Amino acid sequence: MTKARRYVPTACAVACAVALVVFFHVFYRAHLCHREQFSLFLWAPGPLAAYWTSPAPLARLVGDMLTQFLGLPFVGALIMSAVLTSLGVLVYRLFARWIGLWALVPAALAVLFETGRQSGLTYPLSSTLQWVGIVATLLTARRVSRPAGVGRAALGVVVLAAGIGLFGWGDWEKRAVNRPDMNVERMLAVDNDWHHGRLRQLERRLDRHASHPDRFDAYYRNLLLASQYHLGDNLMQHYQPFQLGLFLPVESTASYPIIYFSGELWFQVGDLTNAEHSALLGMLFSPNSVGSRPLMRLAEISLIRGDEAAAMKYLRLLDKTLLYHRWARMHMPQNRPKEVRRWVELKRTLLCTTDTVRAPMDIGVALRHLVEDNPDNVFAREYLYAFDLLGKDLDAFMDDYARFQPNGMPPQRTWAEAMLLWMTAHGGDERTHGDARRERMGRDIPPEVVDAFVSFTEQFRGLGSGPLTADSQMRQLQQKFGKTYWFFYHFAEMR
Amino acid sequence: MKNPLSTLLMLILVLTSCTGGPLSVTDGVVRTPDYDGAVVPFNIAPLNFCLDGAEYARAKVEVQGRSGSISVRAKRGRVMFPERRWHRLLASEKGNTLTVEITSAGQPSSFSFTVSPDPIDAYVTYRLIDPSFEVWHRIEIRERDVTGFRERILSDWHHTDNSCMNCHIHGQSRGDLSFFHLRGEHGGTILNREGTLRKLTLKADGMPVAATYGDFHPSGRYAVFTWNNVIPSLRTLGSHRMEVYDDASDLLVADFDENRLLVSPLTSATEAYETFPTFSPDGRYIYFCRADYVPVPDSVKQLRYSLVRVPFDAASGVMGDSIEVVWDASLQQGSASLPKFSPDGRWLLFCRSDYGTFPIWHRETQLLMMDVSTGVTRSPAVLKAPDASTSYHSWSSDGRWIAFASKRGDGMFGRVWFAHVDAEGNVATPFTLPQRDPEHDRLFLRSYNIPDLGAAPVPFDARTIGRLRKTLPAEPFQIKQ
Repeated sequence: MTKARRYVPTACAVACAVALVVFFHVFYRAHLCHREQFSLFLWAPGPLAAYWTSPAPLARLVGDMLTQFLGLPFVGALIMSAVLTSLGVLVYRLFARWIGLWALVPAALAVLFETGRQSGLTYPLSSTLQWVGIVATLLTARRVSRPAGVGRAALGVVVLAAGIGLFGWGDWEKRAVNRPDMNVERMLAVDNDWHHGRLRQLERRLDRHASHPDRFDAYYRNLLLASQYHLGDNLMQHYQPFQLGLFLPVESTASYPIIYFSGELWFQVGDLTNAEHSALLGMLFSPNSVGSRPLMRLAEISLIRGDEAAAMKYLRLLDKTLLYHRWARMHMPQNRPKEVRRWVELKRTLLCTTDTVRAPMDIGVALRHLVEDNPDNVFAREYLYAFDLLGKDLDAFMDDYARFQPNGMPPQRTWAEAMLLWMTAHGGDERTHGDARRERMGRDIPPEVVDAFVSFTEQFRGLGSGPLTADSQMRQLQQKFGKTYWFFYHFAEMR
Repeated sequence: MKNPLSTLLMLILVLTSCTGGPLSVTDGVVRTPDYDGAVVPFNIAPLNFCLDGAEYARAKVEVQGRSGSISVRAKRGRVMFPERRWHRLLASEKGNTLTVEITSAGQPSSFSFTVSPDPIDAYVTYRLIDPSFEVWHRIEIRERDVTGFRERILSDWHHTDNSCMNCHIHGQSRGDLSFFHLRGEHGGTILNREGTLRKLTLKADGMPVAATYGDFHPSGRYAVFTWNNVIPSLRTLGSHRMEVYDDASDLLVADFDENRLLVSPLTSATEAYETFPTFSPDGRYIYFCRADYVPVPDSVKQLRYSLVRVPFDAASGVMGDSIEVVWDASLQQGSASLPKFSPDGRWLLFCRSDYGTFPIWHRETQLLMMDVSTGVTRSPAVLKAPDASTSYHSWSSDGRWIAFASKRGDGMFGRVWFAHVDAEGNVATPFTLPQRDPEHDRLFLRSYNIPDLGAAPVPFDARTIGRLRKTLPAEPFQIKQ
C-alpha cells in the first residue's frame, strides 16, 4: 500500500502530462496558435505595473506571459501540460492527507474540468493559474500553520491573505463547463495554414474534409485557388455555396475569428479599408481586444497605404514583445530591408486610385472598383467573375469580362462555360452581333468546352424523355457534368 | 556562446525602455510627448515624457525656473516628476518660462514651456472607444483629474451590459449639470441636474432615433438636441477610412421641467439637415449647423453645413421664426461642425472640414475661432495638425482654456489636448494630457473621445449608473409644436 501510495500518483502525473502534451500538440495545436495570436504581452514598465492593480495579479501576469509562447511548436503543449498537471498534483496533495489514493479522483476531475475549459477560445490561461495558485496557497497555509500555535496560525493567515491577493478574485468565465471542439480546431488549423503560407498543407486539409464542406472551407479553397491563379479553372470543382463561399460575414452574429478571417480576402485583393475594418473588428471582439496577429496586419496595412505614423503605432507595440520584436524592427522605416520594401511596393500596385463611399461588405461594388482602378489586379478580377457567376448573374459577368479581361488571354474553364451559356441564351441578341469584342470572346472558347457544352445541352434537353427514368437521367447528367458551371447554373439551389 | 539568461535580460532591457519611431524631434532628441513651447496651467499634472534611445535611458533631467528647480533621472527613458515638488515649483513660477535640461551620454538637449497663471478646470471627462469604424465594444466614460493622475469611471460596459453610450457633456463646466445618452435596453439620457440623476426618453413619435448631439441652456432647464440618423460608410482612397453622414436629422429643445420636446417647422424641414446645436451663453439664440438636402452618399462631397442661428425665448420655450446664417458654407467652401461658445460669449470655436458632418474622419479638419462681435473668423495656426483631425473641443469655465481631441501623432487614435486662449482670442501652443506613465498613450489602443472640461467632479460613478439603468424607469417626453 505504501509503495502504491508512493508510485501510483507519480505514474498518474507523468501519464497525465504526456497525454496532455500529445493532446495539445497533435490534436489541438491550432487552438494554441490562435490564442497566442490574439494575445499581446508587452515588456514595458507601464503595462507590467498595470497587472498589480488588477484582480489576481500574479495569475494574470504569469498567465499572459506564458500565453505568448503557446504558438511555439511543443512549447505551447508543454506549457498547457505543465499548468494542468500542476493543478492535478496540487489537488491530489491537498486531499491525499485525508482520503489517500482516492485523492486521484478529485485531481483527475480538476484536470479534466480545466482542460475542457482551456479548450475554449475565451478562457484565459491565467484562470487555471488562479486555481493552481489558490490550491498552492491552501497547501502552503496548511504546512506553515503546523504544529499548532498562535504564531503558526498567524503565519497561515498571512499566507492565505497573500494567496488571495495574488490569485483570488479574478475573472471567472460565465461558461462553467467546456469541451474540445474539433470543428473549431479544424477551422483554426485551416486558417493557420493560410496565415503561415503552408498552401500544400492547406490543400490537403481541405481535401480531407471535402465530403463535408462548408462555407468556411469554400472561402479558404477559393482563396487558395485564386492565389494560384486557378480560380477560373477550378471554381466548380469544389463546393460553392453561391457567393457566400467568396467572403466571410462581418456582422454582429459572426464570431470574432470569422470577422478577422474575413479580412484575408480583402488584404489579398488590395481593399485595405475592408481589410482594416475586419482586422480592427476581429481584434476588438476578441477576448483581450488585442492580438499580435491583428496588430501585424494593421501595421502592414498602414505601411502599404504609406501611413507611416499609424504603422509606427502598431510596430511600437509589437516592438515591446519578445516574439515579434524583430519583425517590428524589420518593418520600421530606418531598418526596412529590401525584401520588405519590395513587398510593400508590390502590394501598393493593387490599391484603389479613386475614392468611393459605400456600405461595408458591398462585395460586388468593392471588387469592381478594384479592377476598374487596376485591371492588372488578377486576384480581384477572378473574384469579380466568380462573384457574378456564383450569383448566377450572367449579364454582369459578360459585362465585366468584356471590360476587364485582357486582350488575347484565353478564358479559363468556368468563364468559358459561362460564356457559352450566355451566348446560347442571347444567340440572336443585338448585344452579341456587332460587338467585336464579344464575338472575339466567343472565338476564344476552347473547342473541347464547346463540344462538352453540346453534349450537356443534348442531355439536358432530353431530361424526362427516353427509356431511362428521370432520376437516372439526372444521375448521369450529374456524373458527367456535375462539376460544370452549366450544371450549377441550372440546378444549384440555395437552401 | 553567450549566456542565454543574460541575452534574455538584455532583450528585456531593450524592450522595456522607451523606444520606437519619432513623434517629435528637436536637436536630435526624440521626446514623447513634446511639450516644447507649450503654455501650461500652473495646476497641471507633471508633464512626464519619454526619451527615445538607449543613451537617454538614465538621462538627467532638470526643470529650471526662476525660483527653483526639480531634478530627476530617467528610468529606462521615462522621465517622471514627483507630483508635490512639481506643483510647488509651478505654483511659484506663474507667468514664467521654465527650461528643461536633458543631460546624458547622448547629445544634451533642452526645451522650455511657459506656466500660465490661469488655472485650468480640474476635471475632464471623455469617452474611451476603439477606433473601430461603426461598432462599439466595451465603451467607458471616464473623468480625469488633470491636476494629477486620478481617474474615475463614470459609466462602463461592465455595468451596462456592454451598451453603447454617447459622450458626457457638462453644462457651463458645472459638475452638477451634465448629461450623456445610454443606448440599448434600459437606456435613456442620463441627466445630472443639481446633482440629482434622472433617466429620460428623449424620443417621441415621429423621431426615428433618440436625441443625439446636444447642449444645455444656461438656465439648466432646457437643452437643445438634434436627432441624427447616422450612416457610416467606407471610403477607399488612401487613409480616408470612413465617411459618416446623416440621411435625416432635425432639431428640438428638451424642457426638463415640463418633460416636453419643443419643435419648430423651421428646424424640422426635410429639405435640410440640422446638427450640432448649442445655446449662446445668454441663452437667447440656438446656434447649429445646417445643410441643404443633397442625396447621400452619392453627393456627400457637396454636403456642406453652414453655421446658423435661430432666436429662442426661454420664458415661453418658443423658437423664433427666422434662421440667420452666421458662417456661410457655400461662401467659405467648407463645412462647419461642433460650434462651442466661450463662456463670455465673445468667441465661437468650431470645426471646418472640406465637406460632410463627421470631423474625426476628416484629416483636413481644423478649428476656427470666430469673434462673435465682428463675425471675423481666424484659424489658429498652432491648432493645425498636418494630416490629423482636430475636433470635439470644449471651453473651461473661465474661457482661458480649451480642450480638444486630436489624432495628431498616429492619425488613428484620438488624444486629449489643451490650449491656452488669452483675452484677445490668441491661442498658445497646445499640449497633450500628461500621463503618469509617459509611454501610456503610445501603447494605448483606444481613442479619447469628446473631452469636456468640468470645474467640479460629477456626482456619480459606474455603479450608480449601472443601478440607475436597471431600477429607474425612463421618463417619457411629449412633443409640443
